[in-house]
Amino acid sequence: MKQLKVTSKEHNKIVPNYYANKIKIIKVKNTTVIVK
Amino acid sequence: MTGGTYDILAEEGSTLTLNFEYQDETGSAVDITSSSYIIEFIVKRTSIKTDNFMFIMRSNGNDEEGSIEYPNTHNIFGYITKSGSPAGAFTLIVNADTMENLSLGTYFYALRLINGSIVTPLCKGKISVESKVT
Repeated sequence: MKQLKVTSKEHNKIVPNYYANKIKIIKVKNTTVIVK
Repeated sequence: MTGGTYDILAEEGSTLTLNFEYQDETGSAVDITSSSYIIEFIVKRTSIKTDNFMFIMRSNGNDEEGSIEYPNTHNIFGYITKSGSPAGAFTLIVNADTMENLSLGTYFYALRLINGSIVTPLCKGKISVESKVT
């Protein structure tokens, strides 16, 4: 029988916009699915 | 959760203004307008844990201005405001007097979101303070 292992990790990506003098902090979730 | 990295270039004697927007992957604002969310900006001379703070700024929890809490000296001024529009927007300002009194060189900062006992790192990096042209 196959098993799924799902892991999820969050981090923040920084996207500066120098023209608008604005820094976006984007919450990114990386999900990994491993089939055993 | 790990914070992103962003290095800041600042000039001696000039107001440091940084506008931030906290979003999710879809571009929607992360709502931090609740008074339970406090934004904290820590500046240190080195990244070493035991190093003394140069200063700490905190928003006061709602959409009014926060202030520098440490050290409480006459030559350190600045504040963090949550604009509320969009819901993840906030602005960090370090006044020109404070930037004038910081020695030239490189500092380390951390920007964190505090909600009760939950502390979320937003971003961190270096602040390089360069000499002004006179």
